[in-house]
Amino acid sequence: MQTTIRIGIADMNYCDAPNLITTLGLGSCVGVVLYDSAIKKCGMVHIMLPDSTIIQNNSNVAKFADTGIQALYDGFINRGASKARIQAKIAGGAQMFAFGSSNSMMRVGENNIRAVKEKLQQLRIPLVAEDTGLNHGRTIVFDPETSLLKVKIVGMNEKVI
Amino acid sequence: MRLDEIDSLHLDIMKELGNIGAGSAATSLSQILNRKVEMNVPSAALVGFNDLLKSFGNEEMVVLGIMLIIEGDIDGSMICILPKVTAGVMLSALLGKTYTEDTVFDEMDFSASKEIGNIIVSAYVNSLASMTGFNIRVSEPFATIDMAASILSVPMAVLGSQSDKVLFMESYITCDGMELGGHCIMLPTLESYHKIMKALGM
Repeated sequence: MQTTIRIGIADMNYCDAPNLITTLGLGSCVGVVLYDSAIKKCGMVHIMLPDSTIIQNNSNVAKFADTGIQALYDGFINRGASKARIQAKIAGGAQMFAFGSSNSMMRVGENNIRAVKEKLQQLRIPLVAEDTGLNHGRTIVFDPETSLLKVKIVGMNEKVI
Repeated sequence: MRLDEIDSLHLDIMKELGNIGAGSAATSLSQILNRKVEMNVPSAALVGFNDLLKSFGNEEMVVLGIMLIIEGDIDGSMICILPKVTAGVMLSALLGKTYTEDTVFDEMDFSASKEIGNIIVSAYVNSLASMTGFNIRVSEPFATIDMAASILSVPMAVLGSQSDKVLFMESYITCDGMELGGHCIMLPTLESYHKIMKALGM
């Protein structure tokens, strides 16, 4: 039987085929999927902020791009994924409101995307596909069987990347 | 003190502050809409991000979100969330149009939505300012229609740098006795929260 594993905001989990993994309503946050298509396993983290090092209260590693992707990666290796085969797909990082350029809140989405890409590069994980930026929310569903990421957007057709 | 250490007495005080602001917002809205609007704050609570999202029932529900940034002696944001269907109840009173679930909001609809958000937030902020003596400025309103979770991720990301929980003051809105299922949430930063308590002699 196929089940769908759901992760919340600032949360992470793993999923093996034939199951699916999802996170609902990504706004400025970024959903990062790491997958190993040979063994049909994956993990997903829903990060909220770019950088744990400039923050005092950083006990939840899944909240940040740097610590969240690292924790997801380490746990994925422990679950049998091969360093050489791990690939990534990402979605989110929207600017939900048209804040003026002077406001730091404006850049949360953009900063999240940049931080995620930097961390993936540091871990030498190829970024295979992304649906990021713009001004709308996204619900994502990843299928480790096919390595495809479904992206649902209000008022638009579903995308598959 | 950390945000996680706020006790029930403090939450009761925040709830009362919220009720005074909500009463003032309802009066202003009643005048501009020419309808009987009521707002009340049943509770103030300290909740985790995912619990906050759950309190809206469905993360993917399509809602109108109106957000204003609060700056000055205290800072943070205030956000009003109205299910798209019931947002139409308020907007029709203002613009004389009929709204359905499929109505695509045009510039005028967004402009009227922002005005409603502005009225609500200004009323809250003015009552808070008069009780604390603080100088508080409110940004222009920003509005969008999208999934509830996507919209709420914006103020949560700002507060996420300080805590894994947010101080959640929810207010229910009724218009001519009809429950609109709307929420206005005040999200002060931790530092602002301390300042409010200090100004009130706590």
